[in-house]
Amino acid sequence: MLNIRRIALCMLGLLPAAIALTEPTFAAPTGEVKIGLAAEPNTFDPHLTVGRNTQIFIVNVYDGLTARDAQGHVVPALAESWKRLNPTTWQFALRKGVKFHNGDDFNAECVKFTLDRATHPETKATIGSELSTIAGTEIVDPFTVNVITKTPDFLLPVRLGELFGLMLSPKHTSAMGKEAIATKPNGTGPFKLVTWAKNEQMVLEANESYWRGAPKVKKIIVRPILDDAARIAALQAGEVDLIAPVPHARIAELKRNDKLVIKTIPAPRIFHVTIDVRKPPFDNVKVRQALNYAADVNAILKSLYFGYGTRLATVVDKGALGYDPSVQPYPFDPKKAKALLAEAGFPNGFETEFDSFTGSIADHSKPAEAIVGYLQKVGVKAKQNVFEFAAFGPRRVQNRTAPLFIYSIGDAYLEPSWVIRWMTQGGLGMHYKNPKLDEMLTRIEATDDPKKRAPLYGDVQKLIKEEAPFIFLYQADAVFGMSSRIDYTPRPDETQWLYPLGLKG
Amino acid sequence: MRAYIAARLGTAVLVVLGVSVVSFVLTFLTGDPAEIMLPPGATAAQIAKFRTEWGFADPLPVQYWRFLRRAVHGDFGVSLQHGQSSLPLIAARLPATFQLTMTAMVLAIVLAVPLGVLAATHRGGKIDLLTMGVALFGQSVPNFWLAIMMILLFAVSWGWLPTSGRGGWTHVVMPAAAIAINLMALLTRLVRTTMIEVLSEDFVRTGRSKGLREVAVVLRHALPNALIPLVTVVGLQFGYILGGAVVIETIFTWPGVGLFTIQAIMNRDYPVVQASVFILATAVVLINLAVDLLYVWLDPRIRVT
Amino acid sequence: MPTPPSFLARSLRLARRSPLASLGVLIVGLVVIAALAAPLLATTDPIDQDLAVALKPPFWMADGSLQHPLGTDHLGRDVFSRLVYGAQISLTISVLAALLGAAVGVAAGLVAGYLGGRVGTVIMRIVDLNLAFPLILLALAVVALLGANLRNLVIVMAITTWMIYARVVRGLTLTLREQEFVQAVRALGARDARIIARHVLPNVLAPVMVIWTLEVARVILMESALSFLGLGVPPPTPTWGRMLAEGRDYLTMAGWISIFPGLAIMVTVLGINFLGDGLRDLLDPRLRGQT
Repeated sequence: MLNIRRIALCMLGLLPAAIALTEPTFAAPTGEVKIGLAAEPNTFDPHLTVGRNTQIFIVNVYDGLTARDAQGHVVPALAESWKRLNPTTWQFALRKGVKFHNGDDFNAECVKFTLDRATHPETKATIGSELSTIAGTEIVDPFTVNVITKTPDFLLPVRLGELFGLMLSPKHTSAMGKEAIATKPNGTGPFKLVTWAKNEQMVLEANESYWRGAPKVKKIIVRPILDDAARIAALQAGEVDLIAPVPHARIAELKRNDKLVIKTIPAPRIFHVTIDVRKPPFDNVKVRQALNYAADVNAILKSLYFGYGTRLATVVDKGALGYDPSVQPYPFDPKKAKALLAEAGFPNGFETEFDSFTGSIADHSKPAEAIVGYLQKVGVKAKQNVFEFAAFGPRRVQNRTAPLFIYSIGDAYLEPSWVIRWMTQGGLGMHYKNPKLDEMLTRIEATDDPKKRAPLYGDVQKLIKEEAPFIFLYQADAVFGMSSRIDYTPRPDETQWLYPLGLKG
Repeated sequence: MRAYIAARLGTAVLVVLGVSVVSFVLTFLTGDPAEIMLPPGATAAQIAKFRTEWGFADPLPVQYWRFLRRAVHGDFGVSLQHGQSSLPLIAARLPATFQLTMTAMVLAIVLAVPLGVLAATHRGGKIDLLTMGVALFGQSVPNFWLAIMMILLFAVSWGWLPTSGRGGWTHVVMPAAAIAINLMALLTRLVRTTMIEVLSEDFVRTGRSKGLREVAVVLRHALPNALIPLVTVVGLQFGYILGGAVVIETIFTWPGVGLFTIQAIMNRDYPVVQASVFILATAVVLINLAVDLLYVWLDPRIRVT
Repeated sequence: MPTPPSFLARSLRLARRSPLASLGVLIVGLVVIAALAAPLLATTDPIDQDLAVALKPPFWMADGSLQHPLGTDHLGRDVFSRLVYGAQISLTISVLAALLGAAVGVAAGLVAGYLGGRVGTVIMRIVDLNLAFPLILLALAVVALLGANLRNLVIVMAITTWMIYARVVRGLTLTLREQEFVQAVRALGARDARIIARHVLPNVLAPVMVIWTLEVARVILMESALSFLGLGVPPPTPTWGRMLAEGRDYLTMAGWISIFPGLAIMVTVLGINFLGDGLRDLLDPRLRGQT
């Protein structure tokens, strides 16, 4: 029905890309690239990943049923097509002729095995929550599977993509056992993990029989260099060819270096300050709006991110489906903020607390400090509590966070509904609830066609802006630094997928 | 003598036991690792379920006993981050830290002894003042700061040395120097002080009056006596050196136990933190024990205090 | 019999003989004054941010101004004011922690040395235990787990410093206990507490003071290391260690943010070390080998 047309359109759009991608099969992979990353994966077991840093890297060794192209659209990967049979069943037609690194065949059995393993309580999968909608998997024939969900899940194809649907081989996984595949993975992806000396380096080699065509680079050596300054120094000294991330403060300096190229791309990581709407005075929408007027977010973007970021009017990121540019962000207007506070009954402001944290995938404590400074200027005196990321976790889980806390969520699904549902879950410190909003989202989620969903998000964004349950901030750019001999374009979905990596000249 | 050794061993065992309690308690001063391990999209209910499944909900004494029983068998649990057994993970990194700390200690001693002797023999003069100035500087500089400056100069600006990572002597020299600087300063002053005392003692004056050359007096007769307290101090400083290694390993991404432990602490990887703190502290206890016994052997005049 | 030279006379003589010690007094004096007079010396509120003037250089460089003599940091805060207030905070933490550690350590040492026996042994075992842990790891773990605030930091630092007092004081107490006048007073029936307070304590004060000054220096360094690793005093309080860590990202473009606090730490610690050495030479040259 609609789905077939959509898929056909998708594939037509992919044709030029497909042509470009098939070219490399004629050239054998050559060369070696050294990469320095801020963190190495904790494991190569896709069901036991801890932290985003791991998920964004192991995609080099595995494939999911779907993937994203360079523009962020969902495209076929190990599944050639998919359709929704009924509200709770998705059917995937699998690609034929794909082999794992060790020679095992990829087929429907692999899909069933992988999904069963991910959802089995004994696996204690860390990503279990993302696949909790899955009730079971049925093998229809060797290259067709039905995935049945407990409730209608319009995001299932995306879930089973690079994020949480990385496919394992039943024979290999059962034979090796759980501890072994953490360091000796077997996937269908563009690279094989050859050796891994933890905290020292990881060696990846091209999978020459990769179904998309062999990658351009033969060998990739990955070194974890935790310290930002050390990582940059390594790039400058030529010890590594590519690094990520690069602190925004160093971009200007590195751009002056002829031997280096700095590439940035908006990352779908939405920074925001959660306001506890249950606690007065934050239950008053005027107060919440005042907070939004009080912070000069553009100044923060300029001085902390040196302009490498995008101001967001709400919590919907720019690359997400249905992002509505007509919804304007709150302007910086401290007078208006004070006026609103006075209207709400706080002409002299009030005292409160603000949580922030260090560590984790991006720096949250500096923007938090800046925001508290702005709030101070309109009379909202916030006591700052800074935690280590790991210590902050329990506070969120136990709902003991301060009335204001900064956080960021990576919109890996590039779908506002997912983000907003997550932010209105009623736990983890987020307590904003709005039945009208829920209604709008449910209607959107029942719409399969993304083209039809997109315009429906406009009203959602307007509502959220008005209600101001958060201080809306920005999304920062992801920054990659590389030597001029490297040809690499960062991806819009935060993953560090190295398949397109190439060498110039 | 035997009684002293037995008493000393008994003390060591008691301290190690105390170490085990502290290592255990330390990591339970806060909540749970479930939040860290689950993806940010997890709901509160899912996190609670995860906690119970992993055994973090049992009472503390039960957990301690379990910890101790397993520790005796070398089982410190499976690292939450890496999915592998903790002890082998740490053991694999001990050689790197060992290489770094040993190099640092040797460097410190090799620099401190000549400097200290020089200062002592030129006491009150310009050389003395200069070496003491250098020593005081070495004791006052924040060593992580020195490390950053060294990287900027030697690695980035001049390109003489690599910026980070483990390897041959070019890789080890900067981190070892950063760790060694505080110790070197301390030892220089110590050597100077003890040399001055020894040089004024009777047997030295006798040697001089017998007509022995000054150099011989200094090096063959005075120095060995001055080195005895050096041994003790170096041994006792091992704990501080390990501490210094922890920060320096982070800056240079030196894949040792220090870096690994810091990461484990930041990530609330309990099994690794417990194992690491336990092992490092026990190592310090053992080294102190060895130093005490060595001291007794070197200087039979010392008895139990 | 000629009277022994007064403390003042001895100090002056020492000052002339040891220029380093005098320098130490001078430096520490300046830092203390800066710390005490911070509100008077600072040109702005140290936590007042103004993003429009972020990363301005010191006044002797182009684009600098006397309004921000040592430049501004990434949030537009005045480095000089933060430096001066930082003296206040850094010194307060270090002095308090060193005092707390000294109090606990001296008490423990006195008890262990005077009473001896099982109590003494237990106390010294605890000292051994505490000494066994690489201190920065201990501090890290505790602060990371319990949270970084002023109170926790002072307590944690105190934990890393009390042991040395315990050991030294115990040793001295043991010796003093055996001395004739103490035996005599005991035989006369004086209470232990009184003996300790009137006869033992005054005699250990001198070495304790020396150790204390040197420990303050060490605690300052440790606090800066903790801040460097992200676990020091939380924002927006300016401590030197924190300023150093904050400025790291901007080292190549705005080095002044890190350089000045780094210098401040170094110079202060240097001064304290000079002072401590001078104090030791003055009060008790016997201590040369112990500290």
